[in-house]
Amino acid sequence: MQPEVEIRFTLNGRPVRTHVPPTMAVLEMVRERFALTGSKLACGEGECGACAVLLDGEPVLGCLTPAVDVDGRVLVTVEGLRHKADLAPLQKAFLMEGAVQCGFCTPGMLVAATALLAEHPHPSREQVRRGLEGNLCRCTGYVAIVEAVEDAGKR
Amino acid sequence: MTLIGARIPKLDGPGKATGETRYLSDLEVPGMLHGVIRRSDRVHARIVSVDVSKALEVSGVHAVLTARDIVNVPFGHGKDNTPLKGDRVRCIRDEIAAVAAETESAAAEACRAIRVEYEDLPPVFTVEDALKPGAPEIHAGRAGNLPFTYDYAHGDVAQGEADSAHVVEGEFVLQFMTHCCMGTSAILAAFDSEGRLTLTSLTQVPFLYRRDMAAIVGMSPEDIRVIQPPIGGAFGSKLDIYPFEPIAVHLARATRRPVRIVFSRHEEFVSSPTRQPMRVRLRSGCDGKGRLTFRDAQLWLDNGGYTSWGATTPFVMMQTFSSLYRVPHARFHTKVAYTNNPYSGSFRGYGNLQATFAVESQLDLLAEKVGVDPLELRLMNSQETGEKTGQGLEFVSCGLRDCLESAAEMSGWRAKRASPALKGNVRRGVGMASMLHVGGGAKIYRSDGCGSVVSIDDFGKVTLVTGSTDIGQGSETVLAQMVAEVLGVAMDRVKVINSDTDVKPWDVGVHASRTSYVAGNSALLAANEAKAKLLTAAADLYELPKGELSLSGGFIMRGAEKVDALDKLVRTLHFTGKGELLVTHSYFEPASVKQDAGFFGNVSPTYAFGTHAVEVEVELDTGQVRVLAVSAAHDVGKVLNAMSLEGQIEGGVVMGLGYSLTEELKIREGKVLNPSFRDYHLLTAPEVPPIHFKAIETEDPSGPFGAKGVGEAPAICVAAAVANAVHHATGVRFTELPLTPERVLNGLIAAGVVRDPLA
Amino acid sequence: MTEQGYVRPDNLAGALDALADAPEGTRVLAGGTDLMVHLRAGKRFPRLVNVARVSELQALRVWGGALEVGAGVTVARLLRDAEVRRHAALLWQAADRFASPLVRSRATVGGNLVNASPAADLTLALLALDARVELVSRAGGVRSLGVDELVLGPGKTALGAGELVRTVRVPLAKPTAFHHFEKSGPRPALEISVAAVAVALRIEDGRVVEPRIACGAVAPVPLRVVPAEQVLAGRELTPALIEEAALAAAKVVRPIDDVRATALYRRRLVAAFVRRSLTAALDSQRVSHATGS
Repeated sequence: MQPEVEIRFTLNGRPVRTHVPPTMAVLEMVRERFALTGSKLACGEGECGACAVLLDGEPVLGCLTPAVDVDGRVLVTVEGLRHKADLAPLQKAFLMEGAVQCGFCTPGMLVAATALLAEHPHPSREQVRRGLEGNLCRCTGYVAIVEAVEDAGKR
Repeated sequence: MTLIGARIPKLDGPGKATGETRYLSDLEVPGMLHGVIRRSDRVHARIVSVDVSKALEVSGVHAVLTARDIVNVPFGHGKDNTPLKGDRVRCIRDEIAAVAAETESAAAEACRAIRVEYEDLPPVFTVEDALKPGAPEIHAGRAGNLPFTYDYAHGDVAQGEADSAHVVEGEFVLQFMTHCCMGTSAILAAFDSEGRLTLTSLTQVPFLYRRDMAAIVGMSPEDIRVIQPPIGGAFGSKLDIYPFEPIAVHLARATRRPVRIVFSRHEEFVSSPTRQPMRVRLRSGCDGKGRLTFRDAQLWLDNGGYTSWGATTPFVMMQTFSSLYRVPHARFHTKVAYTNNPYSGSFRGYGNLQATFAVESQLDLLAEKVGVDPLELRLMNSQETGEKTGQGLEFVSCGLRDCLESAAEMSGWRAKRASPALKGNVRRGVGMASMLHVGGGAKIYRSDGCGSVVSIDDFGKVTLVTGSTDIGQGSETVLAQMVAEVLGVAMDRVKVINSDTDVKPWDVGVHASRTSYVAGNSALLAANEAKAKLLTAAADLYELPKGELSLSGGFIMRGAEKVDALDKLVRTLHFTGKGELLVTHSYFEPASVKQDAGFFGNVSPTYAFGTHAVEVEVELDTGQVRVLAVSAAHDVGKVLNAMSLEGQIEGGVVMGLGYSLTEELKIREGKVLNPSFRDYHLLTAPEVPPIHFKAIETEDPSGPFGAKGVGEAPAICVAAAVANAVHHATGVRFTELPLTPERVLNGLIAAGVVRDPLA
Repeated sequence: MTEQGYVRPDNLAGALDALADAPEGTRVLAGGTDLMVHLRAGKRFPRLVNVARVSELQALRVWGGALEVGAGVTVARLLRDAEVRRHAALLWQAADRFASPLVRSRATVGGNLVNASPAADLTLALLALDARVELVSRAGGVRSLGVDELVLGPGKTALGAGELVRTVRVPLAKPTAFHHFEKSGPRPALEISVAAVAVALRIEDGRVVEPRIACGAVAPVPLRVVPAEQVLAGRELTPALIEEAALAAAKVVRPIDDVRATALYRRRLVAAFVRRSLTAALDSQRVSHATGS
């Protein structure tokens, strides 16, 4: 067995600590250690974006980021995007624009879009499209998702 | 009407937008083991021996099963597949052994430790080779590797030929495409203390699934409960039972523990069904003015090593050959042959993308021969409401002409068609294509019906229990809308239960674009009966004329005056007087017929039509095709939920664009060369063009509020429209998909449109 | 993995120590975007040295007439950095076409170099920019290599035992410089290049000076197409010259057939991309003439 490494970090606003094997990815850590199953394993190769999480505000792939690298940092998963009891404006925009169908890509889309909006609060359509280029969706054809992010940027 | 046609957000949206929705891969139950399957390393071989001793030594392993350990019941449409393969493997997917272990990694390690000895058999990789005399027989006793043929005809093709001024002929080659559901295939099998089996399954057809599964695992169907959790996409991929599902049951039985199997992405690419690949040879004719005279189609389908629904796609395809536009004479002949390739299942459109690609490509060729605009030729041959086609399809509503004109108008057709634009290194063009598909299910079983139960509790909350299945497309929301509309309550007063065969009434399943129509009509029947019951009760109670009462805003109304609150009335019914419950039920059977042996008959109660006009840009130095805009007009009968309709259209169009431009599961000698998103290219957000959509409302007389099904329609005619646009731009006709840059550049060079940059 | 199989040093000295006595097959883990794929697939290495906390690998500054880029600098940081855009536009363009935002936030310059992929976009740009790669080790101190000296074959580099890439030094672009990056589509990014071309040159007194053209995914390593550069050097850029250079480039590359494309198509793409790049150079010259700058 691999020796586990102790890490402490902020997870969705709360200080936490856990022990992880050094080869464990953030995705398995949040799903198995913290029961946060919103982040999805859909390819495990960094090609689909369904596992995206925010690390110090930057969007990263949960499946390819070593869990040990979050030590001392701030991690936000899709479960941490809501504003207290209420949904975040972006989440509301996803619902109001029909950006959710099967929903499997939605967590990663929301995370990537949250990062995009943090960097460009009022993004152009092209910026939104490029900002989501690492997230695959099979249901929506991306149209409603792009509109939702644009909408959230107009608020 | 207040809710019908509105933009209503999905009921299951909030849980999905917060990450709280639990999919099957997020679900763990106490004591659950992980199942992993050991698959074949060969495409065609005799299994000499399977040694599992090393696998059993892996820590955490509870069971290792091979064909010898189970009763291996043949199943599937051709009864040629089994859960585990004992003596022979016929394709790269073949399941040789399965392991249940405490962790997925232990199960995977054990699988790798299984030693399989093979003796290779001569393989067959093409339909042509499979059908040659003396070809290796892939299934013993299925002589000639020819499990299925389909023959259909109406009119007299010879007469059609004689009536033709122009005839075009050609061959079209269609590729393997795979569903790429973002959630991979999965199942959880668990027996309870009484020996009943609960399958938490992604199936699209829970009742047929229960029946078929019972036969495979040797149980009585009533002892199987199917729970349908939220699902990460389906698109037809879960219309059949695949070996991993009974394998999970056998593992659960062997270990007396719940067993879950979740495919890795690699496994999903290699081992889940595909869109049926095929070769289509088509002749089409028209008279001197452009009126169609005949179609004569011959198809060859690669069945792969086993039979799933892909082999039955001719059933749908022949409708397009016989009935898309007016065709007085049509003939259709198909051979389906076993090979050692992976096998195909059903996939949104069910063969119709392939058929439409051929038919609509040749319409442009005919237009060119006649010298008329492709739009004019299509309008000239368009059908109208009230027509019955040569195959017996009855168009009780038909908006094809409107679709053609609307798509043309949205795309700026006439101006753009006049001259293909040339700008430096790129050429632009526009093309169009239309589609015909069943719009209210297809009667392939004796019943194509759906049951519903509507109940109103003593707090006025309405529950719809529907037999139908939601696969992410939003049927739950649309059905709730219909019920809310009838009962005059807000959307949040309706709950839909649709995921448990122990609770819900029978339904055929989600396929053939049938849910809005069939389950919608069914829900409407039950809701209308509930409404009648409420109004009768209110009329009796308040001694008012029933005919003057209505339901609105949660109240029984008489004109603008509130008579009683809905919840209060229900409580009165429950707790006083006769003690009546407000529960109604219905069964809706569409007015379609099962076709005869010659495939004649009105298989669906209504049909969906649509036209896409596509504008493309072709880079002459790289062969890259960029789609600049898609203008899509669809006869949807009636818009029920504008937002979910647009979602279906946009998603379908983009899936069709993927089929046209980038998507191909590359199979060489039976093996999958690109089993990852890295090399199997789905379109990404920056590649998606603007999609202009117009809903044509023909108000189908039999549809719920006039609606017809649209789930598959938007994917169907994209590829033909793209190919027609590329032809308009470059003058080169492509008959093989996808239109990858390399294929296009080769075509441009071969046609002399561009000079070989290396020459 | 044993206790010493995983090391997470806090500084460069610690990293070099961990590498100095490392068993063969040891891998340095920076962003993890490549290595984690292997780890997820069950592959194991005798030692992993996680350099995420090594601050000496994070330099990104103009220093000593060059742009100094630490090996641990992520692609996302390159894209956000105004100095990169100003002084090494080609690197910025390659970064913009690199994978996806989710990968760019973790993938590092050093990782892209030592992965030694024939299709590595950043490496291609660095090769065209004549960048120097500084390697450090506990025993051997510092040595500096050109990109083509470092990358020897698919997955193969000149890194010696105990050596780590510390920084990459990119000469600052002169005002007369022209940079252009072309990559196969249709995706703007998230694509392993079927072929890519990076061009860096200067136009001085109407003539091409020090052209460097690097082609990706068309040889075992990112490849400079020297014969094409020779066609251009010292000459005036004309459509005929562009054609000649494009053909020279296509002739010298050594592509293979694979699942993504055939060798023939890759060759054609090289010709197309070199032609496009040089035509853009010609156009930029016309623009600068027209504006009198």
